[in-house]
Amino acid sequence: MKQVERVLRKKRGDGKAVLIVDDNPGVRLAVSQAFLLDGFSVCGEATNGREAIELTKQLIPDLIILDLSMPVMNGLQAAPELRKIAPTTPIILLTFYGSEVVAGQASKIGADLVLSKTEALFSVVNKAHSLVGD
Amino acid sequence: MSAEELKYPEWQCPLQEAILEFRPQELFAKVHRAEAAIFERFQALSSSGDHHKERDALSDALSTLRVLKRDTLAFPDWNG
Repeated sequence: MKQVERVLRKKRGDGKAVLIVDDNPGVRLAVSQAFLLDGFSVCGEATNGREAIELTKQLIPDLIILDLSMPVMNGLQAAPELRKIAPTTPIILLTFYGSEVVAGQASKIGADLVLSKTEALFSVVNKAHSLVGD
Repeated sequence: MSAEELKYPEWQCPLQEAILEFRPQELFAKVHRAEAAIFERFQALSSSGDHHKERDALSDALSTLRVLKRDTLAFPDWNG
């Protein structure tokens, strides 16, 4: 039974590469740990939209977790550029200010999903699994 | 206001420190600390449907941090 669980667990996430973009080191750490614990790998971390664009060019991640409020270039400014570089990579806008970003605005800028940082991280990771086809 | 007088000191203390900071470099770190404490608290509350007053206070705190980041730290803002 334990072996079966281990196999099932390994399949979920399947080491898919996530790029975490958030200027706050404490939030980055918590989000990274939640994804790592559920079968993803974290291929990179960026502290603003501009860094995210550079890393996306280099790494072509399977999933991008993008904060909204960041210095230099925020999530709304970065998302259209990220979408151009990695057209098939799902982008989740993970923010405290999600209620201010209407769904239409999110799809217009290239984000697949807007989730709130007030939501439990396991729920965020579950939705990420659905987006990457797990 | 001292920690004893604050209703939710675990995240209101770092918030207060950020509000009272005027040096940009120190403010940046203090905003991060306050935001991380708020994030941690929201995560702790995520399994509970209660604590409505604290949730409202947390939302107000986020509005304050947004203003600090936009007006003092020159973060690019968005509409809304």
